[in-house]
Amino acid sequence: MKDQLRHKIKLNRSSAFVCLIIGLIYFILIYFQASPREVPGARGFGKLTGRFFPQLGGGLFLLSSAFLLLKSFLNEKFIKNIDDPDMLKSMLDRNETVIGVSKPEFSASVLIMVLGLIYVSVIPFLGYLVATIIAVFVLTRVMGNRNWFYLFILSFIVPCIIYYVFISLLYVPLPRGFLDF
Amino acid sequence: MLEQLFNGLMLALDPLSVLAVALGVIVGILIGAIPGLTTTMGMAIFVPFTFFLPPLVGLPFLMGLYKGGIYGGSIPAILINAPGTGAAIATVFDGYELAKQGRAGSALKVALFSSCAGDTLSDIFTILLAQSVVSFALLVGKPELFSILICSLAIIATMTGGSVAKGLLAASFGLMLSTVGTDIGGRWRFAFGNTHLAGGFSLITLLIGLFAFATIIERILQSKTANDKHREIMKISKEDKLLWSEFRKCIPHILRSTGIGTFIGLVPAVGQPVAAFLGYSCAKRFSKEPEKFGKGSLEGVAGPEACNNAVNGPTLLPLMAFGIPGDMVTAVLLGALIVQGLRPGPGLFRDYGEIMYGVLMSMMVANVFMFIFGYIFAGMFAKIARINSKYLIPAVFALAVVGSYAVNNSVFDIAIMVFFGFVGFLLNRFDIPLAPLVITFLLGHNIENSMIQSLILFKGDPLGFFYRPFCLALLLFSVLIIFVPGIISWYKNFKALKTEPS
Repeated sequence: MKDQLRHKIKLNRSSAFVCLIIGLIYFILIYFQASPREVPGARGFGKLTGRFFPQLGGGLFLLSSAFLLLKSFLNEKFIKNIDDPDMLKSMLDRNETVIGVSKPEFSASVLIMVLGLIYVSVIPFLGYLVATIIAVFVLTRVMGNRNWFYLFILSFIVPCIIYYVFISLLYVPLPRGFLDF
Repeated sequence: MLEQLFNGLMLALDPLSVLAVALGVIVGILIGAIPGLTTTMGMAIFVPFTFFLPPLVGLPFLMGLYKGGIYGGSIPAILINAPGTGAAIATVFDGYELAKQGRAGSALKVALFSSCAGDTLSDIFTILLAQSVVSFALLVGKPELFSILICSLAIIATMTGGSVAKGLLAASFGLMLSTVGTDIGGRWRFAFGNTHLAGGFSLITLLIGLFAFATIIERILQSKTANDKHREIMKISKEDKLLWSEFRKCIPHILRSTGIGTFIGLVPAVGQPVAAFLGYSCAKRFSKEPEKFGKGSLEGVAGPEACNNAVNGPTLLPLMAFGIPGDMVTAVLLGALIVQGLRPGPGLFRDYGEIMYGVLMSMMVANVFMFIFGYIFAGMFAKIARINSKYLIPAVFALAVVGSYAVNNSVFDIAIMVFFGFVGFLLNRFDIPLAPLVITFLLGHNIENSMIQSLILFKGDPLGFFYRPFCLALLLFSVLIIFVPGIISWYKNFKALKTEPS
């Protein structure tokens, strides 16, 4: 049980560390992306500018990340000195849903995101319908569906129905590609 | 008020509106019945469809979907031992046991009757209370609104079930996301020179990414690692009959749970899962046969189902009066209201009273359809629960893409959706709650505006908040609710360390 808990604590620590980095980057970006001009009529602790609210949000984010990081170290020290199984079990139950991401899973999810962005970039050329038929076909095969009937229904019929509903019933223009549909 | 109520009822009974509600209930039950699909995801995907429909067609459709989804989650909870939605978690305890004893049909009927009864009674309460809440909201000034928003955020961040620190982390991340776009002076902020970001992130795109696309990523990974377990599905026996003597015992639990659920619905962030557990615990406590709970008690199904459905109506009151969504589903509804030009707040009922009462009345219409469809088509919905969600994920993908695009007719929004799908997947894996993130993102602009306007009112003195008793009380409560649980937990750990033999 202690090993399981240590693993969960390490996952929390790594997520807190990543959040801390993100928070620092955000805080630095505030000075480049938010206006230093004072909001007319508004004063608080000094001038209130367009930077104040991001500083508040970013500051809270940094504090929360730092606290989570500290808590992970303290929890690790705590479980070293505790052998009471009920106490350990209650700590484990509280952290039960922290699953984490293994390296292969992280790589796979990044790949899915990249493929998704590639799909987005080809939509203006192929159009929504053609690009989505291809994407849904690939997705259906990746999900393990080998049945050609399901492949046809999902890859071809579903995007066509959605296309028809949006174009003809809701009058929403969807991107058309070089084939003009 | 009576005139608005009557006109609202007439609008809700318009044939197109009724058809939209019926369709919404069917879609909602289907989504709730299939494990792996959530009501929030369903609503996020279907909200863009409502942009192009009149308010009293699009919003009733979403109401129907909402209600149907909450009830639909009980179907797999009873038949497969897997709740279709978080609201049905407590229904599993006795529902599945009843199904194993060949009483799946009775369990489903009790779930249906309890859901409809709890929902209807709490909707009546909501409709009657709406005007009072709105009248109170009209008295609220900017400093009070700021305090209410901060208090709501504190409750949402700390009561989402997990770690308080993670809740605050998620809430502050939502605040950071809300700063993208323009500041109060109209100047670009975090837009990086991109006109698409000048308007900020679209709520619907964010929701579709965090819920739909994140689910798609998760399901793809599960299909690769064969974590997709096949579960046995219980059958509905024709010999199984629900007797009146059995159902009579459930009635006090339904009424009690409805009261509890109605109260919980008024408090932001507490939501259906907590209501379900409370309903179950109370039913067990007040039952004459508590030893049967956990082994197949119809009362153990009635309690949680009435409670979790009774939350649905009242949870709309803080949303409509103050623009504060109590959970992710009402966050989606908030997005739908804004797109329809119905900005929630004290003026909503004043300016669009008939439409808002029409929307509230459509909840009652949804209950009628939920009862009819749930009773007649129980067997069919049970078969739907067998569908492996991997067959639906490609369709969800196609809908998610078109839904994201339809918001602003922008391909860039689809890219944002993909990115937030990745972020949502990581947040789920590290147990960082999404509800505080989404709700804080929604409320970020309101918080900034109300804070700055309050400071203008106080002529720059931030201590002005503390000179108002209402603001002081809410802000103090917010601080306490954040720090007290942590202090108690640390004290318990400290005591445990002291008493542990060396």
